[in-house]
Amino acid sequence: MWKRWNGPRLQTRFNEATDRAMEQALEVVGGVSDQQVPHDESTLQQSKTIRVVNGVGKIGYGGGPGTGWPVVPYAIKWHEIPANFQKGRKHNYLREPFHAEFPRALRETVRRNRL
Amino acid sequence: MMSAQIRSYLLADGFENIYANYLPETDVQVISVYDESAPVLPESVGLASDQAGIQVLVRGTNATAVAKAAQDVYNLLVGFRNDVLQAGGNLITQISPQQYPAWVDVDDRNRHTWSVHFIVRYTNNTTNRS
Repeated sequence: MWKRWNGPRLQTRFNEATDRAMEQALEVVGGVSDQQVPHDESTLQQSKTIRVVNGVGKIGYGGGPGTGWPVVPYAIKWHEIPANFQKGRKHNYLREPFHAEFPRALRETVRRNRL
Repeated sequence: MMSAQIRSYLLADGFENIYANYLPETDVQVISVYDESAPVLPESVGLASDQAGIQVLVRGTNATAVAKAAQDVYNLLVGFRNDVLQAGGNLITQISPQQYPAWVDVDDRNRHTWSVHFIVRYTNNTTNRS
């Protein structure tokens, strides 16, 4: 029989674990993405932002307000338009790692962060 | 590849200057269809069902025409289901949008580029699946 039901505490721990798992999974995606993002002086690579708030995770390149990085104007162009990037870099540098890595990474990090 | 089937479907609908996995250096308005990755379906390991990613790039000097072409491609493809794109092609379960047509860039030759992404779920009979 339940003597002391501490729902809010459980909910908080659950939310924290979810956010943590999401952030770790996005870090995995970001790690792979960093290997593919067009690289000259690493301006674009360094502008990577990962943020998780209340179960909503975001990953992006290109800076802008709220990221702490100046806007990198060519971030979208290089993501969308194929070009002759050097050093094995490519366009779709975030979309493809996300598709390839995120589902498995999230399953793994959720297992690791279980309550 | 799925890009070739999409290209053939667009050609049959009257679009012109379409290329698969290639974007020529020209000022003429062109449409390029690229194969790209898509989320893998859990059932793809055993069932003859796969997902392909498709990107369509439209580039040209007439900004309005380019935008309209990108929108026309989107309008034509999105929601396509239970049919083949070309004779002898794979049975398409569904084409769903992944990114609505979006303006990307205007380059130093005054060419505008629009991009749109789709996820194509289709039947793909392989050696060990049916």
